Parts: sequence; C-alpha cells; structure tokens
Amino acid sequence: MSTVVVRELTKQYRQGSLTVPALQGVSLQIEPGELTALMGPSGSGKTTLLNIIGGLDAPTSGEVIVEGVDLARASPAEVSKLRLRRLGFVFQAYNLIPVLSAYENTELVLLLQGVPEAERREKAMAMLEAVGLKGMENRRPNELSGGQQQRVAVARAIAASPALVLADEPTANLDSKTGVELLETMRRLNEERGVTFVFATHDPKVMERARRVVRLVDGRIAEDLRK
Amino acid sequence: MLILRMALRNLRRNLRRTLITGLAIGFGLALLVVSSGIADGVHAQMIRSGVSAMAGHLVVQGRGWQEQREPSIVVPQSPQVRAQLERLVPEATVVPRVFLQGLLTSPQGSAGVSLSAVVPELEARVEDLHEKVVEGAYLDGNPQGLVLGQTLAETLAVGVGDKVVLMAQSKGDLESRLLRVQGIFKAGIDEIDGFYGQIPVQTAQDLLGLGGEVTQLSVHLGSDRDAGLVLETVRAALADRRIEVLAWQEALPDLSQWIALDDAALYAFILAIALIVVIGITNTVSMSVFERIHELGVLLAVGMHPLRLALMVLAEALLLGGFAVAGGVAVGLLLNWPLEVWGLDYGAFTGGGSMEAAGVVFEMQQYSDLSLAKVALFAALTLAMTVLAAVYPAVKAARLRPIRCLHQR
Ligand SMILES: Nc1ncnc2c1ncn2[C@@H]1O[C@H](COP(=O)(O)OP(=O)(O)O)[C@@H](O)[C@H]1O
Ligand SMILES: [Mg+2]
Repeated sequence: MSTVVVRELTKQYRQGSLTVPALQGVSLQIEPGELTALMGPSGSGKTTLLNIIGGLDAPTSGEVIVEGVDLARASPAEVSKLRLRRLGFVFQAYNLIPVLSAYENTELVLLLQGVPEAERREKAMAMLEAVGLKGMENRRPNELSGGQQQRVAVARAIAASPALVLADEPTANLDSKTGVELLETMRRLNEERGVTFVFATHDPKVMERARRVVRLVDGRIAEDLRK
Repeated sequence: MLILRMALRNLRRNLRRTLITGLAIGFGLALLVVSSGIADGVHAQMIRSGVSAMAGHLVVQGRGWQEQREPSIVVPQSPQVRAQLERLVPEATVVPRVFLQGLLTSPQGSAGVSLSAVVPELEARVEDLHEKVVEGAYLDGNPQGLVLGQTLAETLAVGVGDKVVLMAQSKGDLESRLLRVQGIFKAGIDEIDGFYGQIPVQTAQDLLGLGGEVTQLSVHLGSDRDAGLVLETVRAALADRRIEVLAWQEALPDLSQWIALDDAALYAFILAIALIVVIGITNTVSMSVFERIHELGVLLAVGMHPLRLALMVLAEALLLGGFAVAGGVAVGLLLNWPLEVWGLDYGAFTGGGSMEAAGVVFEMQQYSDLSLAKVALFAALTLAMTVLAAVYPAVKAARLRPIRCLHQR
C-alpha cells in the first residue's frame, strides 16, 4: 500500500472576489520508506500540498488517501486520529511548546497517544540521542539553538514511529550548514529506521540529500526525479 | 498530568499578570470575608440587644396584640403556655413580659413612659439593660421597684430611692401605683433614655388586672441557627386561635428590614467582587490564549484533542483561581481573627457616642462573628466564577483551526 496517494488535486484560495489557484491538478504517490524533497519557488504550493496531505486543510477537488484513509470521506475525528497515530509534523519554526523541556516536547505525541511512562521515557530518550541531543533533555526551547530546536521537533515527529513525517521547510530558519546537518539527521533516520519523509525546501544543498525530488511550479508538478 | 503541568507553567510564564489577577481576586475575597464577619457580628449584636429586649427569637402573643398594642390582649392561660414552651424547647429561655404605656408623676413633674414589666432574673439572662445601670441597681424582688432612663429621671427630677406614681389605663379605668426608683440606666439612645423603664411583672399584672397572664412570652435560643425549626415546632404545638406565634422578624419588622438592607449592601459588594473575578480571569486567560495561538495550533496539529486543549485553558483558570481563593481565605481569616477577639472600635471613626438603627443601640465596640459556612460559600462561588469566566476562552481555544494558527506568530 502506498503511504500517500494524491489524484488530480486542486486547491483555490478565496481572497475577496479573487480566487488564487494554489494547486492545479497534482497527482502523486509516495511509497513507504521514501525520502522525498518537495522543491519549488515560493508560492508554488508546497505548503498547501503538505497541509492537505496532513489533513490540516481540505482540497477544492481531487482525492487524497493517506495510509489507506480517504481524507474526503473521513470524519474530523478520524482525520485527527490519523494525525496523532500515523503522521509526524515538523513546521518551519516554533515547533516546540515553550513551557516544556526538550524531553517533554519529544514525548508529547507519545503522551497524547497514551503510551505508558516507562515506554515513553525509553523512546523519547532514544530519539533525542538519535538526533544528537543527548544531555540536553532538560533544556527549554529558549535554551536551545534554532538547529537544536528543529532537531527536537524531528525527534518529536518520529518518536511515535509514524508512517509518514511531513516537514515544511524545516531548514528555512537555519543557516546552510545547520540545515544540511538536520537533513543528514533525517536521511539517517530514513535509512536506519525506514521513516518515510516528505519535506518542502527551496535550498539546493538540502535537495541534494533527497533520493526523490518533486518539483512544483505554479501548483503543478513540473518534474519528479528519483535518484 | 500533562494538562496541569502545562497550565501551571503557563501561569508562571507571565508571572506578573498572573500575580496581579490573583492578588485582585484574593484581596477581594479577603475583604469579603472580613466584611461578612463584621456585618454578621453587628447584626448579631443588634439582634442580641434589640431583639432580645423587645422580642426573642420568636414570640408568643395574644392574637391581635401585634397590631392593636392593647394591654388587655394577653396570652390566654399564660402560665400553662409558658410551661408548655419550656417543655417543647428545653434549651431555650422563656421570658414573660407585659408591655404598657403610662404616666410617671413625681413632685417635680410628669412624663409619659413606655414600660416593660419583667421577671428580673430572666430578663438579665437574655438582654443587657442591667449592664447599662449607672446609678442604683437593676430590679430585684421588690414589687415597687422601677428602673428608668437617665433623661427621664432628669425630667422628673428624681434620683435613686425617690418615689414616683405610675398611672395607666386598665379596662377603661385609670389605675395608679406608687413606685420607688431603684436604678437609672443610660443606653445612649434618646428614645430609651428619655421614655423607657422597667418594673416587675407582678406589679403590672396587678395594676392592669391581668391575673397571671402576660402580653408576651418570648423564646430565646442559644444561637440563631435552629430558630426556623423551633418556630415551626412551636407554631404546630400552639395552634390556638387566640394565640399568635411570630418570628422576631415579624415582631420587629423595622429592625428586620434594616438588617436586610444592610445585608443587601453586602450582596452588592459580593457582586462587585464577582465582576472583578470575571473580568480579571476572562482577560488573563483570553490574553494567554491569544498570545499562544501558534503554540495551540501546533498542539492541535500534532493531534491534541480540542477538548483536552479546552481543559488545559480551564485548568489554568482553576489553578489561578485556586491559589487566589486559598490566599484570599487565609488573609481574610487572618484579618478577621483580631476583629473577633478584640473587636473593632467604631468610636474611633465616629468620634465616640452611640448610634442607633431602627430603634436599637449600635454598640461602638463591634466584634466579628464570621460564619465558616459563609467563607466556604464565598470561596466556592469565587472558584466557580473563575471557571465560568474561563469557559469562553476555553471554547475559543477548542474551536481553533490549526492551519490558521500555524500562520500566526
Ligand atoms: N491562506 C491563504 N489564503 C490565500 N492565498 C493563499 C493562502 N495560503 C497560500 N495562498 C496562496 O497559494 C499559493 C501557494 O502558496 P503556498 O502553498 O504557501 O506556497 P509555498 O509553500 O510553495 O510557498 C500562493 O500564491 C499563496 O499566495
Ligand atoms: Mg510554504
């Protein structure tokens, strides 16, 4: 089963009397274990596509099936459950809850899932170690650098072993070297643990690390490269 | 408990705002506790001195006396009714009284007087006129005895030991008795010091030809609490057409109204505090929700249930309210304690002298009489209001659409 199946997806935003076409017929399939970079200039529809796949936004037309769930037919509660159980999210910035420590942020999804304390601890600590933040468990977000914060966000996204992690320009607020490091971390997690990633970026250095590159232009797929 | 942990830390995050809101609520509650204690203390004193002298927790009178004030209207078979009351309410003091109007005449002049004819030992147990005697002594067994107010004594130009003649209407005829001034009291109230006195009950019964009957049998309880129940019991037991059983509020409507009015002022105060709580909490919690839109969006996006988010917001309010209420009650009790033990000297504010409300002396030294049940009620109400005030921001938080929140920063 494909992790994501998208067919003839369109999305129009209304701005007063104006309709802005954000996606104009996107079809895409993402298989388990893939690491896909969603490329494209600003305004090309990357965020819109990720939000729709993540069930945070609804398309104007077209079909989206994530982990076998048809989002158009699912109830809000089912979509919510899908997000909690099967998806991980990394946003551009400010992913973390400021009042929670790195460890508490990492275990957040596990906690919401109702995973027992001991298991939570084990998984969250392992994840923090996997993203290279061992020893920083008790720091609050404001005591971490931007790159470290994003790594906590990645750790949180994958701690509960989701079927798919959606990352919207996770490196946008990082300098190029830190951005590449974060991508290396994601690639390693992809190779070692088989986590399926889709991330949006417009940084060519970041793109080089991906094994599949989908290029969006004006809400259409212009290129789909598998290396 | 993720929710509690986050709520607590969110409160600490903007400590200044939390403290200001918490202090406002706590201070308001403390003030409410203290004023309630003082108000209840004042009312208890007024009930003690005013109600006890003119009535009791409840009174048994001949039917019609309350309206006509006619000395011939008495409690039929007073001694039997009295015994029956003592059996019915063994813990109470049952006090017989005859009320009459008359004219006091001395060699130097004469003046109208309003008299209570009493059983001195019983009267001294339930009211405090005997403590106000400034010359001579309170009534004892002497049937000729008379205690009267200082101003009245001056009008008549009499002192302790002097003779006066009392004249009163008895069934159409004018009867008179020779009395001897036994004591002079000063209550500090013109109406009492200038026009009031007491004589032994037998003297009045003899003068008015009442036999063993009295105008009123007043029932005095140890505390106000069971008054309602006792009233029911007595009413049921004395179902006689010729008898009326009244609560003190019915027997002394003026005083009762004055106390109700004073209580209404306290309720207005409670309302003001409720407003502080509602505005303070709504503002604090709304602000904190508004500031955290992005963060709440992240929580919703990663799968936190909206209901849980709402509970977190409510938990913030509950914690804030809880601390404020605990602090407010503690401070209120602390401030109340010296007022209960040493009292509050109103004379310091008014420059001395007595005051009067609805014909009852208002003592200058007032003691708080705080009811813990009321404190608990105020605390519970404040807390309930706190949570209620947070419902709107909580619902707003639960209705957030994550996608919109994530755009905000
Ligand atoms: N909430 C919105 N309301 C109106 N137009 C929007 C909204 N979000 C995105 N758009 C428009 O949709 C198009 C695609 O945007 P987006 O998906 O954010 O692109 P990208 O993430 O590739 O920069 C853009 O033209 C953008 O202006
Ligand atoms: Mg974008």
